[in-house]
Amino acid sequence: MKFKVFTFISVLLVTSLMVAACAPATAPAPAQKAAEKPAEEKVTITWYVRSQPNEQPWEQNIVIPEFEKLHPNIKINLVIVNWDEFDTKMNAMFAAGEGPDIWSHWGPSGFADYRIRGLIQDLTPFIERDNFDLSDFIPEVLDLYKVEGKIYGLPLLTGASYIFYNKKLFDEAGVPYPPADWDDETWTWDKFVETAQKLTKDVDDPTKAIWGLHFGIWPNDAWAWMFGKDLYPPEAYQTGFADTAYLDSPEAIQAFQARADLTWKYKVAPSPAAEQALAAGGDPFLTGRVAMKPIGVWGWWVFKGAEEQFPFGCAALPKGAPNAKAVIFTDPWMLSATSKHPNEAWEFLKYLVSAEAQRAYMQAVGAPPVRKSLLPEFFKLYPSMTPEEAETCFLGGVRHGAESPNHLLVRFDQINNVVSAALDPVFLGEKTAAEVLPQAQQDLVKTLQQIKAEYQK
Amino acid sequence: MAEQVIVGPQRAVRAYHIPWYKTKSFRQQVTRALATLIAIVGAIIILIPVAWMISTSLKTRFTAIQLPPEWIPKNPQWHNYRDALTFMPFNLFFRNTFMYATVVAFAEMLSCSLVAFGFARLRAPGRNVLFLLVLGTMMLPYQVTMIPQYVMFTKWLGWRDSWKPLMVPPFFGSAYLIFLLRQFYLSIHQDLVDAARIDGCSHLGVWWRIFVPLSGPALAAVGILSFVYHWNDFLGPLIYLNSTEKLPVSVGLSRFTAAYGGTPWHWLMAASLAAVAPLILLFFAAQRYFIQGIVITGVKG
Repeated sequence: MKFKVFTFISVLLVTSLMVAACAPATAPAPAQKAAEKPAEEKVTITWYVRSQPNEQPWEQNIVIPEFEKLHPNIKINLVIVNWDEFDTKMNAMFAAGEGPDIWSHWGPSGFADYRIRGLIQDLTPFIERDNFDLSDFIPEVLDLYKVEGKIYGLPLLTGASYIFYNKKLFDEAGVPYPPADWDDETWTWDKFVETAQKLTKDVDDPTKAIWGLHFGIWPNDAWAWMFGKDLYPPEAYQTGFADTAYLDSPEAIQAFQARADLTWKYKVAPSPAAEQALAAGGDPFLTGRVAMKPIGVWGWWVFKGAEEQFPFGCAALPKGAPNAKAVIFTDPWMLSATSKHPNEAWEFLKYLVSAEAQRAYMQAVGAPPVRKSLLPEFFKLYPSMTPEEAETCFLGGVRHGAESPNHLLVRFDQINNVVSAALDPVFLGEKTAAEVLPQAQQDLVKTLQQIKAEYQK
Repeated sequence: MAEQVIVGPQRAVRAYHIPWYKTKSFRQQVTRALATLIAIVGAIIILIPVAWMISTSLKTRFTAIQLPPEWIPKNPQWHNYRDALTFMPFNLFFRNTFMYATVVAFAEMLSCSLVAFGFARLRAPGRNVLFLLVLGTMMLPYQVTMIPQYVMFTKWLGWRDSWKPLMVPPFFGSAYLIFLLRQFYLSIHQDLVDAARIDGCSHLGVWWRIFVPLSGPALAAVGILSFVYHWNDFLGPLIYLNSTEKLPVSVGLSRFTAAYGGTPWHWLMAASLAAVAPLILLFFAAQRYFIQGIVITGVKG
């Protein structure tokens, strides 16, 4: 009997261990088969993407099946990483020597961080070898990720920051639409505030309130850009590092005060408390309770489909100063410098930026493409605006914009934290910009110099 | 309740007619009604989020974020369930989760029961120190051991993108469940063990023939706790698994979240409800078993 029980337990343990080991039996089998037949070795390319439900059908149902059909020897391993864990997982995997082959800068770290750390492969040799045609790419956008004549990334999407507005609310209030034309000199900051004031209604009743505008602009630099001031010197965007900043310049103080005044002086934007209720389930613009939404390029795809609820349009950002700029966001595909199969990864990257893959992406997501030949199709995607309106608004923004500092400055996440911490009391209406920014300027310069010193060692 | 006069040795004490609201049965009824009322209020508070989930799961992307919310959707979108569950390979995710939770629950019932038996009944030098050590591991949050464990499993053992790092450790027990079972085993009478030992039963025999049959309810509790915990497990699979076809439901659900306010709440809620449904069923099934278990253990000899 002693024997019986013991046998029983051993059998139990062994079988359960086997079950545990074999449970998700899907993966090991093909790998073993591949090992048996070294002649047609299958190469796996790891593709890191962000978790973005509207992009997943494109990734899973279009790109991977199509590409694997064209290249039977390459398997794409799609790894979807949540926004807030993107950098953590990337860094851990790179540290363990298992970084992705293809990815884009979708966490807090941008292109500059990856380039300085030597994680990105120079694509120029591949482009020259294959004579890859780059003439269809919007030239300014292609140049963004060119450093010292070397191309480090091929873009997937681009676009500036815009104001999206609810045409129904404008009609109801009898207010003329804001202009789509970025060269319209009458679209000043004062006009913007006045328009917002005419649209704001019942702000004390959360069930009926209509807000003139809701903030969606990021990063903070964008406000200073609207008043014609850059927070960092121009060379910083080439080198990735800055020695100084202009956070305490009169223009920056004016810009951040103007942003705070929208909430506290003119009361056309919800206060942080009101906003929390308003934005609980998603973007409040979609609820039809917000007349104007200044927002980055993602507005195009977050608001796609909102026509079912109300017609919406695209307008230029207001000019706080004649030389106002808009922030552009361009996402490039990058090839890892540590990739074990760079040639196959390059094949995949080429497919990702091909006209057909970009068209499918544009149609599935609603994001602006970077190929000139696709732009006319893009302008027709939005039924509530005319193609001309979409074209004027979109291209004007790109013409009047510059690439976002979060892609071009090293450790922008840390820099932005310093600026945001300083601005919090201003945006909460507790202090004025003139009170806090001189001190914040000193902190910011110290941070910038620390970052530079760390990388120069 | 007739009016009575109680005559005492010194003086007569007149006991008044007890009014209806002072009777014992009425007080009992009031207490009961109050308790029920509190339970109902509590249940409503607890069920509001569930109601919100159900309501949101039947809305469109736009009506889902409306303020004030529409509690009963005018136009219920039943197809949200189909859309959400086919958007990602949820049938695979469910199979993975079910496999994982079942194997691990079984593994923990087995290993914890054996270890708990050892701690409860076998005498060996350093046993209590060892037991304290096992309990001590409960004080370490998973986040602390996560990185060294990850390095150990992926670098030393090469268990990359695999369920092994999640499924093998449970075969070596879990501190909390060991503690739970040990306390239960301490209540089993020593005479039973002595009698079995005199009859020539081995330690393992005692465990298998006496402790396992007698601890049915406790083992069931351990199995259910383990199953529910691993059904919901998120961090472990998130770290160890990469391929979509290996993911559990919990990680699959997190893929509905998006930056810039683009999360499709109606789909997320529909898929979340589908994900908790098996647990709710298990709860109803297991609740009966729990009560039966208490009855059985009440008459143990």
